[in-house]
Amino acid sequence: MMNNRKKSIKKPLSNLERRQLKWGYFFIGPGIIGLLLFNFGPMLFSLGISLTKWDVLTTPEFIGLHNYAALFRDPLVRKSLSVTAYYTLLSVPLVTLVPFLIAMLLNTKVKGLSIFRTIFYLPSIVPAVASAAIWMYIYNPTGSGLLNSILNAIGLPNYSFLYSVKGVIPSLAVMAVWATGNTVVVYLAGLQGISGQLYEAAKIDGANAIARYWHITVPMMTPVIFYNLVMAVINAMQTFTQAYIMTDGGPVNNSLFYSLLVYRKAFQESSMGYAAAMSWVLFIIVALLTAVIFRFSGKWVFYENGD
Amino acid sequence: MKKMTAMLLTIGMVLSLIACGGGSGGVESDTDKAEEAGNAAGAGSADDVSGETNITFACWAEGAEKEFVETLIEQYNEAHDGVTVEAQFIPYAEYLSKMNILAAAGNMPEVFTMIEGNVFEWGEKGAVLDLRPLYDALGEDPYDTILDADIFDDGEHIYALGANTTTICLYYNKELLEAAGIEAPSGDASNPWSWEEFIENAQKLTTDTNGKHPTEEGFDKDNIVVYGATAPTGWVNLMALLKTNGIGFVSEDGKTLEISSEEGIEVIQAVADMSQKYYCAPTTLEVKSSFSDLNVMLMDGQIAMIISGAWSLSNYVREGFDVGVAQIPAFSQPANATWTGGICMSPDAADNAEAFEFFRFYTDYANSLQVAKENGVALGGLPHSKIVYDDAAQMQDWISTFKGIDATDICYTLKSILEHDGTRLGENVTTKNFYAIVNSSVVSALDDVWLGNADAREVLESIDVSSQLEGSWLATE
Repeated sequence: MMNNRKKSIKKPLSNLERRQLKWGYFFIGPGIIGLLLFNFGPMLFSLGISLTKWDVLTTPEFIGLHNYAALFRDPLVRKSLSVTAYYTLLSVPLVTLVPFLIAMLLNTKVKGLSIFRTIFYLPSIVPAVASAAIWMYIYNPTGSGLLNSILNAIGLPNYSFLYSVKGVIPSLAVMAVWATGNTVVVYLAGLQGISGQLYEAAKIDGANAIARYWHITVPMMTPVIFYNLVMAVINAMQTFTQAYIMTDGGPVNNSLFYSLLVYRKAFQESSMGYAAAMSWVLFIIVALLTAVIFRFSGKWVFYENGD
Repeated sequence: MKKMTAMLLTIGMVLSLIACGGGSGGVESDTDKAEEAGNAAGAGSADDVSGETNITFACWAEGAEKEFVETLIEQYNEAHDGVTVEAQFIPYAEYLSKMNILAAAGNMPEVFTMIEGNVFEWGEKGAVLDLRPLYDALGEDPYDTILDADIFDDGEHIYALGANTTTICLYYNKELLEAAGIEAPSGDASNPWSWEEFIENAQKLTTDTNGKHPTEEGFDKDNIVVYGATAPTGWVNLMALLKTNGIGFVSEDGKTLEISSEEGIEVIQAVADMSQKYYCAPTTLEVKSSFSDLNVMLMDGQIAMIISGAWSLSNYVREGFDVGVAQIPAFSQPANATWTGGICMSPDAADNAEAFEFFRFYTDYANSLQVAKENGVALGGLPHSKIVYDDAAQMQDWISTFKGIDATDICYTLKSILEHDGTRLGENVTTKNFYAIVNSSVVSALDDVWLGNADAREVLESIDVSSQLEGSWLATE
């Protein structure tokens, strides 16, 4: 293309361009400094600690890759990885697809649309601790819990939800859908960006609503779905707050999320080096997952302007 | 002019960016934790330039205990010009993490309570001050005045003194026992109920909506109105109960797991059976999801007996409730555990004379007693001073701090427990790595037993903590 050819010719910058470049660097400077100081710096520090044995009170002791070797053998680490993976497997489809359906509903012309949009968005701004308290009431395992009273009313016995060995992760996964207001907004924006002409043209060709949905809406939305999928996976793998507040890793470690284990190792057992090593392992796992998703994205993501 | 505005705008943006850091949509908890660290760092002590010394005191007291600490400190501040002690109350669940953060930030409070299981660990690492030299310099010996179990002494260093002695006891609602025709358990620590007696009585006290007991025909276990007892599933209570069967979570030398022995299986299964077989206690699900305080339920007559720590006593006293206190039921021998949270000083305060003076004030029982008497607030814990238990007049003083009820029986029972041979120093103090062993492995494994999913035997025999057993803090006795 024309642009590529232009790039390979090195022309000295004019005064104007040089000045503008200087201002450019000046304005992104704070952002870069922030990134280096508050993101990359601590990351490198964490990498450094992961090679040591450190309990905050004494000086760190260099032990090389011992932490990494130990964590591959640790049954708790394996348990927490399987718990986190299970949760990701359940919650990601829910958190990626349900908001899409909701956004479609919110994109229709009904009376009181803005009220509906507000209602669906509100839960996402409720602080995590408050929503944990609400859901603990909903999921209360005795007959006084909201869900259980509904179950009882239709003749079903109580279910222990968060105190059930098998049911705790599905319960948490369903809870995650409640807070997807942000995702709905993103989908809504995407839906509204689809050109109306496409729909008109399809209608003229005789496509019914379902065909229009499958052949226009969904393909045009695949970039947005892709974005939300990646974000959902990254966030699901790092879940911490719900486990910390609601279940404390129980019952029998069946909601011992990886981040919760990192927190315990770091702050309750004072094994900072081990916790740092765990964090880096998580980073690599999430990076690999993201890379895999990107790699296969070409097969189903359709970009309007070409890749 | 344009350049000026651009300059000012940029500086404004730079400042706000530096203030907020580079966090970009990361997990919520990261920012929350960072905020906490920032607050903790800010709340650490700061010596005023004006010559006034500020001392920070951190502890986990809440409820009635908190009132007591606040009153004590207020009195100290009034009596000492030029010194201001500031109390920092941190919830127990986060106490250790918050302390770790303060230590990392170099912002330790001068005087602070420390969880009993971590005192020796922190002492060994030099994170708390060795108090022995300070006492030697004064020519005082804490052993003269304070109960042996309340001095954290590893043979060489004294890392902390205790100020809130505690133990486990059996609380009971006197009216409910009388109404059921059950004779109250004795206040003599060497003569407790046997576990069988305890269960029998708990069943007699449990009634459903039709007034039936678990042993009778037609008992409706889904509609129980009054529970005879609560199942003591917390590790503090288990620790004491295991002692009544001659064992602990871990052996005394800290080298073998004892809870998985036959005696341990017996205890755990018996506790689980309370709600699953004998229906005399609420299930863990019911307890965990209930928003009611267990103590309140006892006072309301919904629960007849609770095995819990002496720290719950102030909850009853505050309401003027005449609660019965007895030695815990025994499996094979009368026994109990005692310990205290440690009061420590930061190594940075080694030369801080005012801090040491406040430390000695706080750990001097006479001051606690005076504050309690003058202000009508209940003492935080049980007296740690030897003199109380040896002298009848002192006992009377202690009893008089309980306003609203006649605490004579209660105090003499607690005295009996604390002085009893079978009352040993809690493993949470003596065993190395206690929390990692108990909280990470044993407690979470026991969830299955309490939920009724597995037998105590299956669960206990499959626990493997060999990698975490590190021995005992105390020099071999």
